[in-house]
Amino acid sequence: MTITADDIVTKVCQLSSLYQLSQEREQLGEPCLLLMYVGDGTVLGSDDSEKAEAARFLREADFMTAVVSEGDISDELASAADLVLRADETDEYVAKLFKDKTKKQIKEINACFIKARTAPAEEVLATESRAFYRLTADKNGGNSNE
Amino acid sequence: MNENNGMILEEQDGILTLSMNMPGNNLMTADFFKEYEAVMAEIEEKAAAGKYKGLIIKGAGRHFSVGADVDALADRSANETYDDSTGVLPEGHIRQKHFFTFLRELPFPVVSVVTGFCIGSGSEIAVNSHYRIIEKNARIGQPESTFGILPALGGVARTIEICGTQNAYTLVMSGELVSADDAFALGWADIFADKKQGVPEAVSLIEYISANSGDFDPSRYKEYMDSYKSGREA
Repeated sequence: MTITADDIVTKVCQLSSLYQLSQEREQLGEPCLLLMYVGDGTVLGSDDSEKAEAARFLREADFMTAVVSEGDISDELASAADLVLRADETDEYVAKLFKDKTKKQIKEINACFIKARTAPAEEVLATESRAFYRLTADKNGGNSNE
Repeated sequence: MNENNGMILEEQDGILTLSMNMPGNNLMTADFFKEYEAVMAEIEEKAAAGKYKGLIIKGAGRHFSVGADVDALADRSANETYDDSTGVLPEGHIRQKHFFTFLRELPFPVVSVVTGFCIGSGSEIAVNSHYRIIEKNARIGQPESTFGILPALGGVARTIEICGTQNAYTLVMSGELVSADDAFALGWADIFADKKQGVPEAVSLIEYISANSGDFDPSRYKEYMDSYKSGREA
């Protein structure tokens, strides 16, 4: 497993198992998006216990997650991540997503999507409203009372 | 029925039609929101008091809505008090948001007929509706992220519901506008229609649901669309 990171994106390559990530959390940094490059041999976990732990880790992650592959991705891996991306399109896609945005803005938008993984729409609606006021305060040159 | 300074609400054969006819192709200024909230309050009263088959929302002219005046939005929001330590949202925002999100809870199908530009808060009217019929040549999008903010009138939560996480993330985070064809492919629009065919299609959909589904249950809105599409293909 090799990890490269900038302020926004962490890329993990040569992954044999997504379970590995749950055991190496501190190496992932504090990204907005985790790109997990998977190959034919990559699995969610080697047994049910590891699979459950990997799925829990990704479901509770405070960043968005994407499996990236040059070929087909198993349903098991695809369903564990927020996004499924083709390797040859990933750099362009990520650049388009985050163009001219601050890390704070990305994280505020991410919070809505992270909330939507497990919460009902009413909670996502409230999350987007609070994020809006925090970002608007920044845009107007002040801060909400954080 | 009622002409409310650019918000024209009419009824025919049990179907309400709201034609938004505000200045600047329904640019969402403070005046727009004032008139919008007033007509939505009227619709809410009618929904509680009477039996309607459905509601169609459309632009009276070429465009559905070009969205909010970002400067006006920032000014208005700057004057509202929000304390993040309590998480209590400003009353004005709660009221405004109610008149977007309540559309999803109405006891009859709400169909937005999308023509021309349907952008930003305009798009949020559409995504809070049960269904979106998009006409050829329309363009939709949530460009708020390109202005340093995000959609907060249901634009994130509802887009996730109707498009799924990946497509919603792409639309909301990138802020890009997309064509009618792409909006349909992404799942944002339920039905793709030729020019001038959106309203007849909306009437057909509402009449179908009224005739085949008994009392409309908002929580089952996706099932009704699946049934309608299956019926059309048969």
